[in-house]
Amino acid sequence: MRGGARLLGAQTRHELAKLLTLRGTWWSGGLAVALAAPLCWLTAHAMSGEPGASVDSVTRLALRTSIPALVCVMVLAVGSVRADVDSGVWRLSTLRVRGRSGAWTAKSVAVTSVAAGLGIVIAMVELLVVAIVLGGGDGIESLLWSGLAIGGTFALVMAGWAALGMAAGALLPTTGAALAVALGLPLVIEPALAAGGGRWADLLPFASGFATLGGGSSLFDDPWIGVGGSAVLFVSAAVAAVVAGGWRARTADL
Amino acid sequence: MTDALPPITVTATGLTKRYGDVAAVREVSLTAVAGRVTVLVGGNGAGKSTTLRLMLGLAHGPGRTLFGGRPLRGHLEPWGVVGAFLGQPTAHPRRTARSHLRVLAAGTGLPRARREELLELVGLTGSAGRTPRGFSTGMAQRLGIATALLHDPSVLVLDEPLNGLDPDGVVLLRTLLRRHAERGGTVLMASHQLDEVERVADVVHVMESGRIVSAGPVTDVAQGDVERTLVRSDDDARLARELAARGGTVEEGPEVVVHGLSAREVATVARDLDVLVTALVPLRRSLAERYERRAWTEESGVGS
Repeated sequence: MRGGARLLGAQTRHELAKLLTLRGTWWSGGLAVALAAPLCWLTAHAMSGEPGASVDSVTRLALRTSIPALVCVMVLAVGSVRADVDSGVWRLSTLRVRGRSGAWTAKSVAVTSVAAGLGIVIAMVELLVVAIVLGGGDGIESLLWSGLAIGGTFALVMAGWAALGMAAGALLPTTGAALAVALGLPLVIEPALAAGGGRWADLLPFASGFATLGGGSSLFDDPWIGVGGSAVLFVSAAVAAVVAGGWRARTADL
Repeated sequence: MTDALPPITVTATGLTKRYGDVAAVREVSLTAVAGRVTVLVGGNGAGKSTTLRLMLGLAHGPGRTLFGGRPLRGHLEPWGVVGAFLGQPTAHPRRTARSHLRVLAAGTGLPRARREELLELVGLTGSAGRTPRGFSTGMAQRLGIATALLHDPSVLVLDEPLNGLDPDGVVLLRTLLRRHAERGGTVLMASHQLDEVERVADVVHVMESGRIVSAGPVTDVAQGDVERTLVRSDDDARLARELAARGGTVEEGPEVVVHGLSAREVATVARDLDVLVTALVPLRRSLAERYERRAWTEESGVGS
């Protein structure tokens, strides 16, 4: 068991090194932050005159509409799988561990960790932008608590998106197809289904993810239960995606 | 690294792979012994690459492969057991050669000096900061070989490592493989470059249509069971007639080449005829010649 944990640790470091030695990772992360800041600034300005607009609520609103972050993390997650498989590096990665499940687990940990870290950075940047625009909010202590809560939540959301992107990369045979599905689901399919009406649209994975950032789900009357329920739904979808991707990673011929 | 390697014998049993109705590999069993260079030879589609992938668990199918009596996943540090090069591509096109090795060494405690040593060994020090996008086929092959050697594993599994290598690269690879075997390592390689295989291999397994059709020491497989002797004399015509009468098969041509009789038997016939022999050369058949003739018999060692 100790050997297995050590091997998994070594493999996770290997997967992290793979991500961090590619410019694409840094470009995706940098672009996500660079695009998030001005969009957040616009949102904060638009909301600054609204009654009840607080740093916390406006930051959450800005994060709920942070499409560039979603696109960047999806590109990162899909690319982390497809580039590995297409370049033959995945074969070498799987030979380092005892079984492919270990390799997939390590990759999932690495990619979702990087996505979560990116989520914390974006959340902090947006919080800072909103605090500046709204004039500091309710003091530094309040800002700190908001930062912890919002950063943690957005880290979870980004990790979940990354998990869904990884699954698309593993289940589909080309980068183009995986990106089309990974981006098409949240940006086209889910909005189209939601527009068709029905509270069940809140059950969809990406809607659940956005709902965890505040506002909850229309399926629950209590907003806190709504947020918690959405989080459970979203995490379940992400875990299911990782499991499905892992099945494919385990059974495919390389 | 020059110290002895832990001896690990690789044993594959009953490997089978089907793609729909096509059987790519059929009940292949083979052993690659420590201290030997074992080579799978055969044409395109013979099943060599699929066999190697099945052995490494990269393709799924019936059969099993043991590395030192255990499956690969039963080893605590698999990277120290097997190093593999499975053809191109082998590295991310946008990751530099140096980063590629760094990534594969991550978490294993391999010192940086080893990566630099390998880059120098395969002649890529000057290109270590470049990405494989700008590499020639031979350079990419060299990087793949360095990757396989990275953790100094006991077992090397190489799929067509000679493809695209320049003459210096071929000599380098041959030296590396022989040295690896001399240190007690196991080399299992697939190749269709038979002349080079003959120089480097100790044992060959010939594959056709997903089956091993011949196996054994490279000299035995190349020679088969038919001896050939070239003979020149002061009366070739009479000697040829007599050799044919004694059971030999004589090739027509400027020289008399006899199949099926040893040089000693040919000399005895010439003596009986009182013909002066001016040249008598036992001919060695190359692996390539033997392969062209496809004269495989179910020789000893097949499947063992």
